[in-house]
Amino acid sequence: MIKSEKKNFTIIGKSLPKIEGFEKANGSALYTDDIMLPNMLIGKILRSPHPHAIIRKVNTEKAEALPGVKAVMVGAELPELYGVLPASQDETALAIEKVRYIGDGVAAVAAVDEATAEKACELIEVEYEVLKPCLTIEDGFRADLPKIHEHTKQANVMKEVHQEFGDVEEGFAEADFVMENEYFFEGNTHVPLEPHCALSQWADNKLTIWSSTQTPHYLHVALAKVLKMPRSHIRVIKPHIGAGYGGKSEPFALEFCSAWLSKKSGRPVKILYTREEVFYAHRGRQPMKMILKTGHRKDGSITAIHMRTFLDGGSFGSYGLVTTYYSGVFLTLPYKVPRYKFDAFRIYTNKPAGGPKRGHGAVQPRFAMECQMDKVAEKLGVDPIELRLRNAIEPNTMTINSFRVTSCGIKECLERTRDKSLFKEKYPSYKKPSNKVLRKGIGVAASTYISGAGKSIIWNDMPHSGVQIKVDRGGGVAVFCGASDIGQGSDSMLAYVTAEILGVEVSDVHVCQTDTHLTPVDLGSYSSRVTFMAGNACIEAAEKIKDKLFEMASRKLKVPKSDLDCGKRLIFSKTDPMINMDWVEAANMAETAYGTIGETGSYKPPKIGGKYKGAGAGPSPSYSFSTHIAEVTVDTETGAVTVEKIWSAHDCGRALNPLIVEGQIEGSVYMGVGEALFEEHIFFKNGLHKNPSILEYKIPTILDTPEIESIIVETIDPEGPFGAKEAGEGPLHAAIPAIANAIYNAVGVRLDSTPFTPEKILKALEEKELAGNGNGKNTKKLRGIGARKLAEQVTSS
Amino acid sequence: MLTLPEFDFIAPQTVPEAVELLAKHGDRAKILAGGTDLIPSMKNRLFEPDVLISLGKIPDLNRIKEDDSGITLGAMVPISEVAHHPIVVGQVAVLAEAAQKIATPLLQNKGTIGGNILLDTRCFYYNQSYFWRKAINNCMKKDGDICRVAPSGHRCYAISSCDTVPVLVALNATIKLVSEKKERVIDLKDFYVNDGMAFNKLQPGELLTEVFVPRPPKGFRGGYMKLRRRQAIDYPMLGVMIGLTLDDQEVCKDARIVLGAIFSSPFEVEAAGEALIGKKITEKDIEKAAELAYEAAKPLDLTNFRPAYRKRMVRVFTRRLLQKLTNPSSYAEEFAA
Repeated sequence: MIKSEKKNFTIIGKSLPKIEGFEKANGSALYTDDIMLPNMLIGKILRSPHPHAIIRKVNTEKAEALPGVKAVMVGAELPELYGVLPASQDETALAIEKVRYIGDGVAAVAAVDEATAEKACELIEVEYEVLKPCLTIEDGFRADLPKIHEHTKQANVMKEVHQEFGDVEEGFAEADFVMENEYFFEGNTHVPLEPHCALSQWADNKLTIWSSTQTPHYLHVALAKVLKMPRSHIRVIKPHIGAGYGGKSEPFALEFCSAWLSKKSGRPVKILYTREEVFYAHRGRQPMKMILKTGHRKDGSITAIHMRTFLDGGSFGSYGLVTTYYSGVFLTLPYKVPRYKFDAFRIYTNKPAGGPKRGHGAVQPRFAMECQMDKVAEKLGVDPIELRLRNAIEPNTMTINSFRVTSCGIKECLERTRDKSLFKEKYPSYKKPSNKVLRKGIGVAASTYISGAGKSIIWNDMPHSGVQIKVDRGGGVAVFCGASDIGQGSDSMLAYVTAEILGVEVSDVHVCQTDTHLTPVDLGSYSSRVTFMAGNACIEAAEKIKDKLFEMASRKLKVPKSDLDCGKRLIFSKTDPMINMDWVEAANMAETAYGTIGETGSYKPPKIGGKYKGAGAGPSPSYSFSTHIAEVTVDTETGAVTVEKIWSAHDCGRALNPLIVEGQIEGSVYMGVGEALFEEHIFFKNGLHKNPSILEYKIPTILDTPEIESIIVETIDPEGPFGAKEAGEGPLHAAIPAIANAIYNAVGVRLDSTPFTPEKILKALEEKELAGNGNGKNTKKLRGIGARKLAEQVTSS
Repeated sequence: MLTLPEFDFIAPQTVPEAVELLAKHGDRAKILAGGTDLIPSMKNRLFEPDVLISLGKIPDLNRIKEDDSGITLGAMVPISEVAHHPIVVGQVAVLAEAAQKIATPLLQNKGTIGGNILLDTRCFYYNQSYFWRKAINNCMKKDGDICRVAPSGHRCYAISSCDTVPVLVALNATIKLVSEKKERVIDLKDFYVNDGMAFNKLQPGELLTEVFVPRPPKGFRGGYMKLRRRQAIDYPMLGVMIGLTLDDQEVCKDARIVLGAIFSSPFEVEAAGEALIGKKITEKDIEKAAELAYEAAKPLDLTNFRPAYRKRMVRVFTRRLLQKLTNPSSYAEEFAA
């Protein structure tokens, strides 16, 4: 790997607008649904009204006969299984033998317009034989319910994980006290403003597809598999995306259906999901029941942790294998944990499939862990920040489960949020009993996340990210990379890195949006991997080009290469900047000497991680660290919680563009507030989604969003591009437990289940009153998370 | 994207033209008066009118008039005007307060006072897409036989969800209904029916043209509190309107307590109001009135908050509003941000 030695930055570290900011602001940016092709048809998918049923018969005759209908398809036409993970291929484009959730696709049509397509769907007759649905985690262990997928060994248990590092029983025996609590994290979903959209054009036995996807490469692979055609005949183009948050990071039915309908009709076919369909596509945060047992010494140090998780996975695998691991593996960070045990079960249920949402799988256990730390601090009578500081890991350490930690700013995050928020003064003062109706509270939580996964989803030794850079004779620099900018600013990052190294202006750099015909593979926008991996690949390509240009400049200026630097479209001598030349001239000289100027760079993570079963889940070339402090007001009569302010410190290694990092922190906090207070992806007893609209699914409005103070902590990672690591997902996790802990500080009740609705707060306050003095001992069972019962059930079965 | 069913669009320029069209098309027509509720409902196939008669081109319906007796709002006056117009703010601030709590500023620009008065009742099981409703075999309000909220009940329990209506009822507002043959003025409080399906007495062919809000008596003070999950967008899950008239000695001459979003119509808790009349209102009176309001409220499980919570909030909101109206300084001290 070629690294950059550059230290005097002209672009890196500056708060610059995103390169596509202007076109997005003025409305000219093209999203998939903005693209219209001549003769384009509109596709629609007919969906199941049953959560679990065998498909006896599908009759499409009447639909096909409807004027304006150009193609109709059923599941059996595309029988090949797919799934984003090679180890869990359990989906088909449309249901074939049975439907697995209300909203599962059964047939699809393409027609001259949307109204005709809808009418055609109505005319398709489907005969179902209704099966008993499996709708809860508890149901998932019941052998008397029909299996959702035939391949499960035990009932509807999709995946089990059992890991132990060191002897936790020994650790608990050594502890001065052991604490065990149940937690529940409600399911929630991404709600990107842009619904999923795909446009397919099948011509000359080749397919071009425009899709709002976070993972064009994995889509490319899945399309080839399902459509049974060479990948070289498929072109995946990713236009601008109106956000993803993990909800667009795998192949979806509309991509296969639009392609197949285009093949059948000979015309381009577009499918745009309705908002309701986006809720059914889901792949969001999975409901999780947890039992967390921790052992502590009197000084607050941790002797052992045992985490048990139960995930409600929904109808398909999605990234679920990874989610199951992620529901536990990160608890060995950011505190020193000498012994760790982890058991997890992921259940198939007849509901929309869960998957990765910002902070994938790790947000739920982090909620449990950080609430637990607050309880430990309470029990010990220590300041909760002090407790965390005592336990915080140092840079350059190895965790008990063999995660290699390099740069680490957890302590600085804790200290800076503490000082900015005046935590030390507020925490004890808010804790004092009060008769006021409105009570203030302040709470803290810390967290950690990965900068990309050490292993690719499709295991191979090829690079995780590739970048190609081409210089034209006018000084324009084109960057080609398969990284999928979903609004987080990864295209801008490529432009900044390229411009910084080559010494041109950001406006001279043109980043080609992901197009599998043109751009080298990058694995996609998931696991917060793009800045780290594509950034490093980009540095390598740009350094190679710079070297050629410096070679020319050295000759012309008669200055050794080592004395050269560049910036503002000039190449100049470091010792005497008056000795300089025009950048374009150097580029032209290089092209004369070497031929067309183009170079590539690539990045592959180092070999990291342990040798145990499941060791592939969790290792990352670098970890980010965050701390949140939340200040809340709780209305003791209505139970309403107002988050007044959140201080959020995030160790992102180096902020390549502080403005974008702050944007990511603010967005993460916003999303965390939604998960903490409002959002519930929930279902009626018959498996029907309760609130599939953005009127009834409550994401916060700007009025519900607290003031956010972002604090960027820089630790200059040894392996990140210019020292950078992730900032897109990490700053979400701690927001939720920080709010829970602030509520406790305000009114003395523990909310061990999300979201913290006014109803729950009032109930907890009542229980506290019943329990008398507020130690809350008798209140647990009333709230009924049921994780322990579940654990007993699992052990006995 | 959700599609709209096909319809003809007609935009008459006068009220007589509009009522003539209404008479001509009868049930096949719906009135478009902002469309912030009607259009999404049409996308959900709750309504599939052949004709939409837009009132947007009738200047007469867009006026705010004021005289000694009170103010008259044309049916097409946007909610944002009701929320911020100096005449409304000056004369009946509580109406402006309620209007400000509707949806969002953008929706307030489109939605109208007439639309809010005639707003369809709402329910979890009803305000859903065609696909969704089919998956539960529909409900009696649309395409089905039984009420999904109270399956053994005999009527629809969808709730009145208009923020301005409890306020207008408490202010003794009247509305003018015009049809081809006649014109009538009716007290708004007599206009509604506690039935989620036949929730008002609008007759076929009638057009709501204006609402008249009498000038509140001297010593009047009013407040409106709205329960919702979020600080914007949401429909009310409870609305409490209280209007008090106190004389110079702070004795209560009149007290009106009207609940919204609990029943299919706005509901005045007369007993709660009467408990205050003739008194210099004390904490004890407030508790009593709040208790009476609480007892009268019988919410069902058909919107975002659970019924027990919504019922409980009737007491809290009633008490708080009464504290705010009778003792604003101590209220401000307790609830100041």
